Amino acid sequence: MSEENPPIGESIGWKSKEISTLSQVSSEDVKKAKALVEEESPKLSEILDAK
Amino acid sequence: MPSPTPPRRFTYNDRAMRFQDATTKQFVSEATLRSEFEAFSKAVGERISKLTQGLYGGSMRVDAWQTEVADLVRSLHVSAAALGAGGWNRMTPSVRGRVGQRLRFQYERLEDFAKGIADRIVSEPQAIARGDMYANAGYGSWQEEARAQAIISGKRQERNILGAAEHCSQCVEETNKGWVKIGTLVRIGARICLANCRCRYLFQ
Repeated sequence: MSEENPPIGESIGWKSKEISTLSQVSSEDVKKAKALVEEESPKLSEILDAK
Repeated sequence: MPSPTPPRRFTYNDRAMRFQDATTKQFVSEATLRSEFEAFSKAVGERISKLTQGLYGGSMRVDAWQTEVADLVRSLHVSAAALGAGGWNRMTPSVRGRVGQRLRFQYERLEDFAKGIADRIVSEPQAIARGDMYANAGYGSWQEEARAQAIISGKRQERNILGAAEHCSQCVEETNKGWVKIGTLVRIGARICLANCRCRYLFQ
């Protein structure tokens, strides 16, 4: 760890209930994942577009 | 000027539980899937590393880092589940629910991780190494979703196949059990080798 630049701030402090809500996966999350795969791995994206 | 190569089309064969080329009907090899998924996981790991470097470089606060890492981890596990389920079109509420259960575990650890960073218990090299583990953990979501699909499709037995990696004693133990009732082997990612596990299941 750099002594000159220690991390700034605190963790969000998620509680169990917040984690339950946060870990729910929506169709919007699927769209975001799809966009990331398209950007990072076009071939994997073609495969996952399977009909 | 040559026209760009059109994208290949794939279908998912439910019976074989495999992707195949829509034109040639040739199955996509396990090696291809592994190679593509590992490359994608690595790219996600590099994004996490960059965020972590920004955090220790002073350009990002811990809470913002935590939010961005959580988003990447979510996209990684959702993509992994899509690979296990047969593609984006098969991301049903049930599949999404199973991903959510796995994400819950990841987020509980991420909160502890962020606290450790904020409390200056975790050094930058440690944080980068631990970030790689989050990227490695996506593989388990792929294998576990494939297992869930096998159960849904009526498969009754499973066996462990060792991956092309160093094997922990527990993976060898699970492999030596041979064919067992489906759902009884210790989950990939929950063994001694944790997120480094690259074993897979066979089903019948």
